[in-house]
Order: sequence, then structure tokens, then C-alpha cells
Amino acid sequence: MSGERATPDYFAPESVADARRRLAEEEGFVKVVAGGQTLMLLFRQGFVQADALVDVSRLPELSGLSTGDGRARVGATTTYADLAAHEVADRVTMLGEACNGIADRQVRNAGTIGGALCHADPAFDIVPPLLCLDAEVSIASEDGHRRLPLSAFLVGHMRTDLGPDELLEGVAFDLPAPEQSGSAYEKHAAVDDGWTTVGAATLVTVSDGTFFDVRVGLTAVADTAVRSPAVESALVGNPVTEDAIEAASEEVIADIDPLDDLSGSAEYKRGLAGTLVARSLATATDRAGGDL
Amino acid sequence: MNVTFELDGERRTVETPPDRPLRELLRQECDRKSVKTGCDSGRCGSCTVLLDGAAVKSCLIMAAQVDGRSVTTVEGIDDGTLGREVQDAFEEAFAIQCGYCTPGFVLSGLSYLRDNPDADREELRSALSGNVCRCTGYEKILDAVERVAGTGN
Repeated sequence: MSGERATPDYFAPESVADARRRLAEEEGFVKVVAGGQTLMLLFRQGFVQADALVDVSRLPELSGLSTGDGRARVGATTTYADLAAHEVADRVTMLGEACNGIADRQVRNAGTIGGALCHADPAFDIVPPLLCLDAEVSIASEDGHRRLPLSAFLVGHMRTDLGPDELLEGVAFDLPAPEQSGSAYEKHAAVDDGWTTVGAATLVTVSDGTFFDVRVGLTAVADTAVRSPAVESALVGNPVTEDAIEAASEEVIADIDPLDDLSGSAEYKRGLAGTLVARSLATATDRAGGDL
Repeated sequence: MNVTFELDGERRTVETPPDRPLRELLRQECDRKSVKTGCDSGRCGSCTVLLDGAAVKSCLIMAAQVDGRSVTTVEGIDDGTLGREVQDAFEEAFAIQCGYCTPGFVLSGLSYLRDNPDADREELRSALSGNVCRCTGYEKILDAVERVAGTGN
């Protein structure tokens, strides 16, 4: 090969069925294009060299949110801006907070939820809130549809369970009951709206002054976005107090394995994770009507 | 491939590799030199344009993705529009030093004000966080956009 980069074939399918067919038929390395906010950088840096591009960004079937039967369904090409503007982001506060802290308006106008899930960067803020919601991804190919928990979809650092012929079509989750539940997303970044050093999503349900249900998800502290069962189980059943939150938050180190990198040392991030989990839990508890 | 789109109100068809950054398509094939090249990595906002009215960074948009859509640069801003008001406010508030970041800031400000005409300074600060001014003239830039929002002096 010469130094000249080959131009990939480009397809803009007319429908989701057409996209699935194209993914099945194209030979070589085929890349699905959504918002392009990460992909364009990967192309430019030479990390991704595709033989063909299947651009799903203009398929109306894949874009937008719907709610019904207590469940929210988010199409794969729904942008961060679309999600943040939807009532679901008001109701599930951590989703809006995570979206609005991502990069800047320009990126949020183009970047998509499905693109973020498929890139599976553990530093992407939208993933831990979806893990807290026990979200389920829907995937399709010429061979049919399948659903699986988001936690099973994320198999490793920037690796997912998505096959080469498969298309992520959306993500869905049960909406938390508005009474007695609250959520929050807290993150630290070196600059406002910057790349996340550590982030903590929490979803809390309180009942009779007790933590009834607690979900904790973390950003940028492991190979993938992760839940923290240690914090969750340390808190459930306990009375709603600041002391309980402080003590439980320290347990987070059992579930994380941060790296030393430019954003900070592993030790620093372990400390930061405990602090952010506690802060996020306190806010979520307050929103759930818990009296701290 | 051929990409057909509306650029500053005019229909254009341009031949381009599909994965080329939109910025290059606009600067090279369409002579829109107001769309600046800065960081080339989606951080600086100098290449901001409006895609179907929404502010995006044209270095992160694939040329093929604008097929059938509408792109606005500062060169498409007409007299008597909100965009011209924003441009005038930049001049009046001394919000321009070297000018390199100005087209991006004008378009980011314009798109935010269109949706949030009564935005306050803190909202504007956050709305403009995707644009960098290396002369560091941020307060003057906020003065300008705030002036249009009607909350300034």
C-alpha cells in the first residue's frame, strides 16, 4: 500500500432494513456512522480505516425518544441535545445532568447515544446513568433481533458484544417511579465540560426513612463503565443519614480499578470516586425526598 | 461522491470523498474561508457552522452527512436578521481582537439566542464553552452576546 489512504465506500441506507442488509453484504471492515464526533477523530488519527461506511445518521426510525407503559425507548441516533431537551431528562435528573456536562453544545448537537454506547469508552458520561437504570440495548441484523442488558453489551475497554453485521438500534429502560426516587450525576473534569476524570451516577429510592433501592454507576474508573454493588449493598436497608452515605461511599474502591494517566493517578481517582459517589448520593437522596 | 446541500441559501452540488471533514469541503470547494481551521480535533470551535440551524463543529462532521441538509456560515447572514444583530454587537462591544475565532462565536451565539432569547450571562458562558478565543477576550464576547439577549446595559 502506498501512503495514500483509500477512500471508503459510502452508503446512506434508506431504511433500517436497508442498513441491516448493507451490513450483511459489504465485505471488509464496515463502520457504522452516527454523529461522527468520535469517529472523525479516529479517521484523522489513523486509528480507524474502514473499507465501507454505512451512515445511519439520517434514518428517522432510529432517532428520538418515546415513552409508554412506564418505559423509555431511546433511538440509537438520538443526540445528547435531543435527550437533554426531553421530559425524560427532567424526570430522570442524572440523564440530563450527564448529557449537559458532555463536551459542549456543538458536540451535543451531533453526538449520539448509540454512538457513545458502541464506542464504549469508559470515560463517556452517558453510560453509567443507563447502567443504573438497568438499560437494555436492542440489536438487529439480517438474522433477526436480540436484546441484552447494557452491562452485558459492554465487554471490555472500548469493546462491545456487537457483531460486524449487527446494528445497535436503541436502548430502553424502565422509568423510575417519580415518588420517593431521585437521581444525580456528579463528575470531575480538569476544565468545565472537559473530559471526565471520574464520574458518579446514582439512583436512589427511599421508603420510611430507609434506603430501599440504590444504584451506583461510575465513569472512567475501569475498563468499562461499571456499577458498584459494594456501595449499593452497603446502603440498602440502612436509615437515610449522611453517615450511612459516607460509610457506604468508601466501599466503592472494591468495584473500581482506575489507571494512572494524564487525568490523575489511580490513587487520586480512588479517593475522588468515593467523594463523588457520596456527593451524588446526597443529591439523589434529597431529590428522592429523603431527609438527611 | 456527489453531495448536494443548501449552503447559505444557495443549492450546491460538490464532488468529495465521503469522509472528508465538512470544514475542508466548505473552505476548499465552496470558498467559505470564514470557516476557520484551529485545533483540528473538535475542541476550539473555530470551524463552527450551523447544520439545519444547529451549531456543530465542521471538523467533526463528515462531508457526506450534509447531503440533503442546510449549512449556514457567517457569510450567509443577512441584514435585518438576528445574526446581523449579533455581528453588530461584536463590533460595538469590542468583542473582536485578532478575529480568528469570531465567525465561530457569532454562529454559536446566534444559534443559542435563537432558542434562548432571554439567556443570562451564566447561561451564555456555558453555551459558548465550545469556542475558544486565544486572545482571551471572553468577557467582551459575553458582553456582545448578552447585549443581544437584552439583559446587558
